[in-house]
Amino acid sequence: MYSSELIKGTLKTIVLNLLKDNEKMYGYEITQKVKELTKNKIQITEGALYPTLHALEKHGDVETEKIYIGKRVRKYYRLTEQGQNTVMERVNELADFMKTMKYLLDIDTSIQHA
Amino acid sequence: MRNVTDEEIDFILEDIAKRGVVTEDVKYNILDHVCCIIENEMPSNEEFLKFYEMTIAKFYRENLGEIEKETRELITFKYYYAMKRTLKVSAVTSILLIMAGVTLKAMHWPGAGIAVVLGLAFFSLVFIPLNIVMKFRDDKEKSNRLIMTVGMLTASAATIGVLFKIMHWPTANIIMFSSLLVFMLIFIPIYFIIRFKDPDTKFNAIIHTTFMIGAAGMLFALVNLGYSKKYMEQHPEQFDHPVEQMDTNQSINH
Repeated sequence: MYSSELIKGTLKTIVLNLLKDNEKMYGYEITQKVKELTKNKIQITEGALYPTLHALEKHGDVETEKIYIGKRVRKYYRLTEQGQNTVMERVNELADFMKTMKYLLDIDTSIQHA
Repeated sequence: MRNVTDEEIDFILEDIAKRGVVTEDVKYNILDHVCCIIENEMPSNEEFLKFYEMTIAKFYRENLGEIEKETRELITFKYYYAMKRTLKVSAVTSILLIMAGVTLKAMHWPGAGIAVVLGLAFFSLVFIPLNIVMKFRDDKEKSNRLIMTVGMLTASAATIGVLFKIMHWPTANIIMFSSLLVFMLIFIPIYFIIRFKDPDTKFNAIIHTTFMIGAAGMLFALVNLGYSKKYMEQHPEQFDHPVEQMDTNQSINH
């Protein structure tokens, strides 16, 4: 289980990317899917997930669909066209960031090679 | 798997509202989430209340209101969109008014003054200030913020100067003259240096600077910087070589 600080900065990217691969998802489904894909290493907390989803909706990256289940309302999230672009940007940015971090944190080994 | 009953749903809804979550969307999201957990993960021999308390406790660090607070903070960006809309509206309004104004003025038709005044006022007092605010939100870089603010403010001042000049109001010259000076001698060089240093904006820096110098230069040339005829008549000793006055109203005199 990684620290919440680490997950916080990448949560939007994780959520957007999941929605890219799955047509529509609701909150609980997202947390379960992440848990399953990462073998429990990343557990998204509800306290972080819902504010992020609301923000993504406001920004127009995702759109929602409400399904009424008895007295409950389930909100499904789906990527918009703008969201598709945002995913690509975000994933590329993160990939680049990871490369940089790897280089930055591996400083010792690269000095040995030099 | 067990189904959550209607009574339990009512209980949960009431409880999360009591804990400080009032936004409808957030409330129903949490409700559905809790219900999903209960339905999928609650052991059959567990008591509902106990399991619910345990589940909801995992949603927050200190209290459930955090989710509401965090959501609101992220959503305050909605003002950003409202501002963006206002910006677009003010841009279109000022363009239409200015175009109508200059057309009416060129044709010597009535209403020119009002349209020009409104158009230029909208442009300099609504459109440009909004641009500054937006720039502050979008750009976290201090040097960028500063340079854009200086640029926009002088552009706004120059516009007001032009407006005064067109309307023959006093102090037009001093407003136009000083704002154009600041624009050309302070803003453009700093803009050029900052943008030219950055490889990404290097090319645009050249283009933009050329445009700005061209536009500002032409405006500058139009400001009559010489002494007025009246002043020269009152102080003839200062003008050993009398400046030839160009008669711009020749056609009218003949």
